[in-house]
Order: sequence, then C-alpha cells, then structure tokens
Amino acid sequence: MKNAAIDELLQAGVIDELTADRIRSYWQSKQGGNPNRLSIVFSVLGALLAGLGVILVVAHNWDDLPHAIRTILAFVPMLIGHLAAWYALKKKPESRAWREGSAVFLLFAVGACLAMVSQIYHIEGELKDFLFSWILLTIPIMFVMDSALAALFYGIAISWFAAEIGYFNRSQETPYAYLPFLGFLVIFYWHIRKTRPNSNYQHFLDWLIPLSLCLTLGTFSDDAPAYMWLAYMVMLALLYVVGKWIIPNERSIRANGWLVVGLFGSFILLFIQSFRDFWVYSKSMLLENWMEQDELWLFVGLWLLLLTLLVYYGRKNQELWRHPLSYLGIVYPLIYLLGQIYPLAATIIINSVLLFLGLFHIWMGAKRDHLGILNFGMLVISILVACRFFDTDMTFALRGLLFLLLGGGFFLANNYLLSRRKEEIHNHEN
Amino acid sequence: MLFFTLMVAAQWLIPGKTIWDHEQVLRQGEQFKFLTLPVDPNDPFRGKYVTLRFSRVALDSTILSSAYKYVYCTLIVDDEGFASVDEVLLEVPPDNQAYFKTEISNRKAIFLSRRNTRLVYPFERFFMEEHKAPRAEERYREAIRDSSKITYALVRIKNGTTVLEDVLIDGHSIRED
Repeated sequence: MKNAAIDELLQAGVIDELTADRIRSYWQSKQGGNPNRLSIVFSVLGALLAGLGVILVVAHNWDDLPHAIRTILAFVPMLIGHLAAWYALKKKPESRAWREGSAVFLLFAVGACLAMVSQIYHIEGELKDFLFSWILLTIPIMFVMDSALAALFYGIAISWFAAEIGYFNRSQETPYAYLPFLGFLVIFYWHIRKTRPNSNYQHFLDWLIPLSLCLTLGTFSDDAPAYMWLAYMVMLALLYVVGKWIIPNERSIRANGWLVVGLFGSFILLFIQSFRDFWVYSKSMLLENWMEQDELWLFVGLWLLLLTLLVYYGRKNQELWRHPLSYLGIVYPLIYLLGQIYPLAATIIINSVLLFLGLFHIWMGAKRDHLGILNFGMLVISILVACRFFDTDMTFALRGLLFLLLGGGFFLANNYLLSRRKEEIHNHEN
Repeated sequence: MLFFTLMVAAQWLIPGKTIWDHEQVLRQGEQFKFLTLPVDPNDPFRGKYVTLRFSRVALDSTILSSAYKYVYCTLIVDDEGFASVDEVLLEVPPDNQAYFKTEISNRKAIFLSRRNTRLVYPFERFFMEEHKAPRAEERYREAIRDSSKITYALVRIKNGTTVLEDVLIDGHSIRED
C-alpha cells in the first residue's frame, strides 16, 4: 500500500525518483527493526491457552495419584516455563515473541505451582494470600524477561489483590502491600517509556495504572468514607495533570489513559455532586475526630502531590495550568468544606463549574479544530441539563425547549467546524 | 543470567519451603480429631473443596479489641477423643501445650459500624476431586441429619502449624466412593 502511494505521487510529479527511493529505504529500515506483531500475538495466545490449560488441570484435582507424585508434578509446568524463559534469553534474545510468550507461560506456571501445592496440603488461606505469593514471584519475571505482557497481568493481579483485601475479604483490611507492588509497576512503566516509547505496551500501562488507582483508592477507606470524596477528586485531577505532563500534545484519546481516566472520572463525580441531596447527605457523614482519620491524611498527601506537580513542572510546562481541572483539584477542598455548612451553595458552585467546563471544552474544541473535544463539551452540557431535568420543577415546555436548543447547538457547532475545515482545505489548494 | 538464576531460585524455594514445612507436620505432628459441619463451595484456582465448619468459640473483649492479627488456640481433648479449643491467647502458649495459630475474622462494613467476628480455623478447606466433592457434600448432609453419625476432621499439628489429613464419617474417609 505504501509502494502504491509512492508510485502515485511519482506519477503525479509531486516527488522525484530520488525522493521516492529515499522514502522506500526509510520504510524498509523501519519494518526491519519492527518485530512481527502477528507472531507475538500468536505466541502469547498459545502461551495463554497453555497456561489456562495448566490451571484447569490443577482445578481437576489429582486424588488418584500418590502424594509424592502430585508434589513433583506440581513443579513440572514451572520447570517447562523456566526452560522456555532460559531459551528465550539465551538463544532468542532479540525475539519479542519468545520473551513475551515464555514470560506469560512462566507467570501462569508459577501460579499453578502455588495453587497445586496449597491444594495438595489443603492449606487454609484466603485468595489474597495466594495472590500475594503469586504477585511476589511475578515481579522478577517482569524485569528479567523485560515482558510488558507480564507487567499487564501483574497490574491486574495487584489491583485484584487490593480489591480482595479491601472490598471482598471478610476482614476488609487496608492493602498496604499494594503500594510497593504498584511502585514496581511504575518503575517498569518508566522503563517501557524509555525503551519502547509510544508502543502499544506503553499504552496498555497508560490505561492500566490509572484504572488500578481508581479501583484501589477506595480500599484505603476505613471508618471515614466521607473523606474519600476529597481523596478521589484530588486523585482524578492528579491523574489528569500527570497525563498532560508525561504525554503532552497527544491528540489520540487511546494513547493517554491518564488524562482520559482523570477527566471522565472527575466529571462523573462532579455530576453526582451536582445534586443537592449529595451535599445534604454528606454533611451528616463528617465525623468529629477528623484529625484521627487516615482518609483525611491520604487526601492531604494527594493534594500536596498535585500542588507540587503543578508548581514545579507547571513552570516549565504551561500546558499543565491551561485546563480548569488543574485548578479545581486545588480549590475543591474549599468547595467541599463550604458544602458541609451550606449545601445549596456547594450545589450551585458545582453546577456552575460543570457549565463552565462544558463551555470551555466547546471553545477549546473550536479553537483546536478538534470535533471530539467540542462534542465532549456539548455532551457535558447535555448531561447537566438532563440531571437538572430530574430534580427541578421546570415545565415540560421549558424542558423541551432546552433540549431543542441543545440539539440545535450540537448540529450548528459541528457544522461550523466542518465547514471551516473545508474552507481551509480549499484555501490551501488554491 | 544472574538475575534469571535468582528468579528461578526464588520461584522454587517459596513453594519448596511450604512443602517442607507441611511434610514435617505430617510426619512428626500430633494427630487430633475435630468434629465438623460442612458446606461445599468452589475455588476457581484450587479446585473443588468442602468447607468445614467447627464449633464457634466465644471470644472475650481482650481478644476482640486487640490489634494483633494472629491468635493462638490451645486444645483440650474430651473423653471420646475429640479436640476442641480450650483457650484463645494473644501469645504462643508456654511449655509443650498443643496449639494452633490462626486469625480472627473481623468484618467491618464500610458505611456501617456493624462487626461480626469469629475464630477462623486454619483447616476449614478440604480439597477433593471435583466430581467427588458434591457426593461428599451429600454424604455430609445425610450425616448431619442422622445424629448417630459422627463427622470429624483429622488434623496434624506441630508448633502451631496444622495440616488437614482427612475428613471422616463414622471412621470412613470422605474420599471413599
């Protein structure tokens, strides 16, 4: 397809032969360095299926085999995994397919070994204990094999581990071990950013880490869940700012999970808080001994981190300060405190913030010629109107008029942007 | 390759140590019988198992308010040879008393202050071949309804560590068809 495009340009006289040859050489050198993605996919798929097969065999139970034989067989999948990993490192060090495939297989084989041993000896243990051991033994796989897919499974496992302890376990403790586990993942993520920048592997982790944080932050809630609203709002603003900082100027949504999770998460929480009932209810949830609540200090830590990031990196990167969400993360605690005293005032402020954010995105979308951002702004305003539809006493006629205006606004804004683009293309051709 | 070697060593050592510790208990541990009441759930990672329930142990306020994660349960054996928990302590019992180490379950609902605590026996799961587990469960239900039948778990204990050897109904292993 690339050759056909080059030939077309050559025939149209846009490029000469010399330029065409240089373009062809460039594409060939890129392809030579790129791994065969299909072989990586099939390799990993094969390893995954084999790994799942091992797990299912484990679940079948081996009551009929002697105790000693079962114990020895428990190590066989892991032995195969180690041999495959050794072969990948020693004989096929340049093959990404071998590295990823053997790493994934080894990861499942280690899990199977742990599961089989605990099954053979009827070891009483919660799922969290099993996950803890499995996660611990997966950390070296990630780094030694330099496997992004192992990191992906590792990220899922640590999130599951934290959720198991904090949400599902009978004790509902705080999963402090999640923090160092996350630290290892972040270190690996930084390594991927340096060695395989803008790769799919990096994009996986760009989504996985923020989603993991959103899922697990709630597990650090103990006796004062009311303060988690503060922690979540600040953390989501922090994710947004991090997205702006480490992946600047990225127009593709799929490439910046930090920004998207931070943005959408913030809006979801803002919409919930746009209802007056939220402030009335949260007022009663504040406790007297606020200094002793861990959740409050968690929020303070996140807030200081956000402030530090904005002040330190914001000096070099003005982009961090351009979006109102950065400011919202800093001033939100004041709005929350105000809401504890005057629920109606906080409701009005939040609704105003949402309206402003919607208009801001419409303006930004028009300015950057980005339909996605413009339509997002329209969507924010539409949802805001829909929310107020349910909790205000507007007449049906007025509600109908509002929706007509919104629909018309959508149509006009998109039409304006598209016609402006056509005009620019037309002017450029002339 | 140094890191690879260390990785392999760690991945063999951890399950290997678990096996070693439990084999020591099976070979050298003292055997106890605990009367049981079972239910049958499914653990996707470790096959089908029968959950065993034992008599509830009353916990005093010292234990309930303690910040310790683990407690130590001393045992007493009745005239019929069945063991039960005698005392629940916060430290390892002195001398050569038989005991096992375990946890207190402490369920805290996120938005409510309700608490539901119980002693967790470290041998509440008996893994079985998946097709045998439902039949075993059926035999247990019949055994519970029939007051003349006695069901109990056979447990080896050494230095606080327990290994569940078998589960029996009137002296017959639940593994038998």
